[in-house]
Parts: sequence; C-alpha cells; structure tokens
Amino acid sequence: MKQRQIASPSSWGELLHYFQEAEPQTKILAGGTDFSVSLRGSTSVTMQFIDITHVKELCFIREEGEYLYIGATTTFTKLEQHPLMRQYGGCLYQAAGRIGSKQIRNMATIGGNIANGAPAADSVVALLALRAEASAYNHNLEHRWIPLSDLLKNFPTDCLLTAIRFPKLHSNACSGFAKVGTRSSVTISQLILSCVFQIGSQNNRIEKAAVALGAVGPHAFLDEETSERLIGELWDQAIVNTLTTCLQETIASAIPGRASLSYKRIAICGLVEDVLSM
Amino acid sequence: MIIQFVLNEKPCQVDISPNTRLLDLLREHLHLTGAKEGCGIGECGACTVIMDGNAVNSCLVRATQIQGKKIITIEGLRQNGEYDRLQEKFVEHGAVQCGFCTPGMILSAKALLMHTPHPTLEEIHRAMEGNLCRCTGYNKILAAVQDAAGHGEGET
Repeated sequence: MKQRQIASPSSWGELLHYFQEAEPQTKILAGGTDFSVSLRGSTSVTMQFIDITHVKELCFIREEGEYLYIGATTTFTKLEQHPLMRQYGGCLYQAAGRIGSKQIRNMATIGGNIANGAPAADSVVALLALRAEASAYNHNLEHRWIPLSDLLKNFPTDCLLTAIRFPKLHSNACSGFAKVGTRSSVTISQLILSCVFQIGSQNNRIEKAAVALGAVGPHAFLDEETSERLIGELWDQAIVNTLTTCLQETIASAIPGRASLSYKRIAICGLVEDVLSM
Repeated sequence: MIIQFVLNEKPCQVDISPNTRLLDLLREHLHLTGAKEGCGIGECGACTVIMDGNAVNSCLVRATQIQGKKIITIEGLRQNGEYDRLQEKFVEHGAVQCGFCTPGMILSAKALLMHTPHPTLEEIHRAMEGNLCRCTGYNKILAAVQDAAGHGEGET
C-alpha cells in the first residue's frame, strides 16, 4: 500500500506555498465528509492532498457593501447559526439547516460542497439562485471571481476555491429552498429547487428572478430560460402554475428518457409550492 | 505524521499514516472501542464522537484533521468511576438494547446539552437525526435525553 501525502497548512501564506508547489492532480480537503467516503477502498492509489481545515483565514462570514462573503471552510453549522445568514442569506440559510445530519453539518464546508461537484449538492442549488460567484486561484496564484453557474459547467482541475460571495437579499426579495429525498433528513436529494425573486413594490410584479435545480443531470444549474420567462409576471397565486409548467419543461429537456423523469415532473409540483410558501 | 490533540481531557500525541480515519485511530491504535463502525459513510452515527464541542462522524474525519482539537469519546464521559447523567438515564429508561448505537446516541445528546442545557423536543430530534437505532424505536432514547436535560445536564 502506498502512502497518501498530505499537507496541512495552518495559515493563508502556508496554503499558497503548498498550492503553488502542488502537482496538478493534488486534491483539496475542506471538511472531507464526501472525500473520506470516496477514499474508501482506494488505499493502493498514491494521492496527494492539501487539508485546508486549519486555515483560519478561510473560515468567515462577513458583509462588505452589497455582498455577503463566505469563506470556503465555513461549516454548514456556522451558516445556519450566523445572524447575517438569517438576515441576508435567504435560501442558503434554509439549505444549510437541511444538509445531512448534525454531525455532517459540523464538518462539511460550503467550499467542499461546491468543489465535490455532486449532482445533488444542496447548498450549490441555493447559491445558484443567489447568483453567487466563487473566488478561485490557479497554480500561478492568479485570482478571479467566477460566476458559480460557469464554474460548475467546467470546473478547473487546478482551482483553489477560497470564498463565495453573493448580493445580500433585501426586504423586497423572496427566496426559498426545497428538496425531496427518500428520508426527511440525512438523505441524498432526488430533486432540489431554489428560487430568488425580487418583487416591485409599486406594481407587485417580478423584477428579477433566479430559478435553480439540482439532482437533474450531472450538476446543478441555473434555469435561465425560466428565470427570464418569469420577469414581469404578477406576484400572485397564478405564479405557482406558471413556474411549475416551466420547470416541468426544463426537467423533461434535461433528462429525456430517464426512468426518473415521470417522478420528477410530479415531484416538482410539491417543491414549487414549498418554495413559494416560504 | 505526528498529530497532537487532547483526548478525553488528556494530551495525546500519535505518529500515524495520513490514510488513517479518526475512527481507526481510536479503535485500532488507541484501543478505545466505544465508537463503532456501522455504515462507514456518515449515515448511521454509530461512530459519533465530540470534537471541540461538536458531534462528528469519526468515520468521516481524517486523523490529520484533529491536530490541536479536543476529542471526547464515550470512554471519556465516565469521571472518577461515576457515569455521566445521560448514561444513567439511558439505563433507567431502558434506552439500550443491543447497544451498538448507544455510544453515538449518548455523544450526540451530550454535544447538544453542552450547547443547549434545556433543549426542546424538536431540538433533541434535530440533534439526534444522524443516529440510527434498529432496536428501540427511539421513544425511550428521546425520553432519556429529555430526562437528563430536565435535571440540568450540561450546566456549568
């Protein structure tokens, strides 16, 4: 059995040093609740990874201007307990409290949930609806903010994800998160929906919309067509049917012929009602 | 790789392979067999321990991640020959049958009571949702935790 090589930087400076020196296939460990499962039975494989658990500079939640910033190693327990999340986090705050079990939420991080790239990553769907951006470094330590919707389509192999930011939700915004799985908790979601709407105070019509789906295809995605379609619609009970119809079409085109299609077309009806009742 | 941490209130140093999970470190290297391996993927909670005051699945924690942390296992709850109140209440309420899930159940409850000395039933449900039991049907476990909480468990 070959040894895995691990680096455990304790500061931002050390992390950058290790990352710059790292081989391209080096993995980043941030919480590791999914990563540990993936390592089972693979002990004969040589692997290098950088454990960023101890880098305190990557664990934060703060507001700056119109944005909320979250460090990559922030756990879901911290997200569900932080007052700024309750105030401005909307659907992400709701999602954080429903991920896995208490034990999982105490270890799993938002950066890990994104980088792991699972099709049913709960927080990713909420982040897409918030039109979040990811702070990413390459091995040359060049930094850029990448829209999460772009990052998920083609996740760079040499990427160090350090933070997430999204525009703070204000009082005229409505947002929600809902999912369905085989159990009420500690379950892998079979369908996830998250939405953010900005409602005009004068005309009660939708001014901005972002609708995201998870567990429909290889990765979560922002349903731009549906989001566009809803702009200008009156914010009343009829929006339930409009949104449901749009999402049924989206699901049908995302997973044509899949055995789960008929179930998901029905399940989305309940999720739309759940999200809009929040 | 040398790791230093505090185990059941005593400083501990081990030289371990990066392949090691916290669960393996406890059971195989330190011979603390209270934490059990059930599913090995974080769904059953039988391997639960407390890390820096929070319940975690030791099957999902790399041993390297506990550097500088404080770990409490079920073996650490017994102080000066006396059982923790939670342990006594589990016995009183008959909340133990085969016993495989019991260390994890008690440590999830302990972590809750360390943060929230008098939790609501809903808070107890949320704290225990990551622990499965296939014998008791949960009612006696929940009753034991409620009883322990009612007696001020976790107060300083």
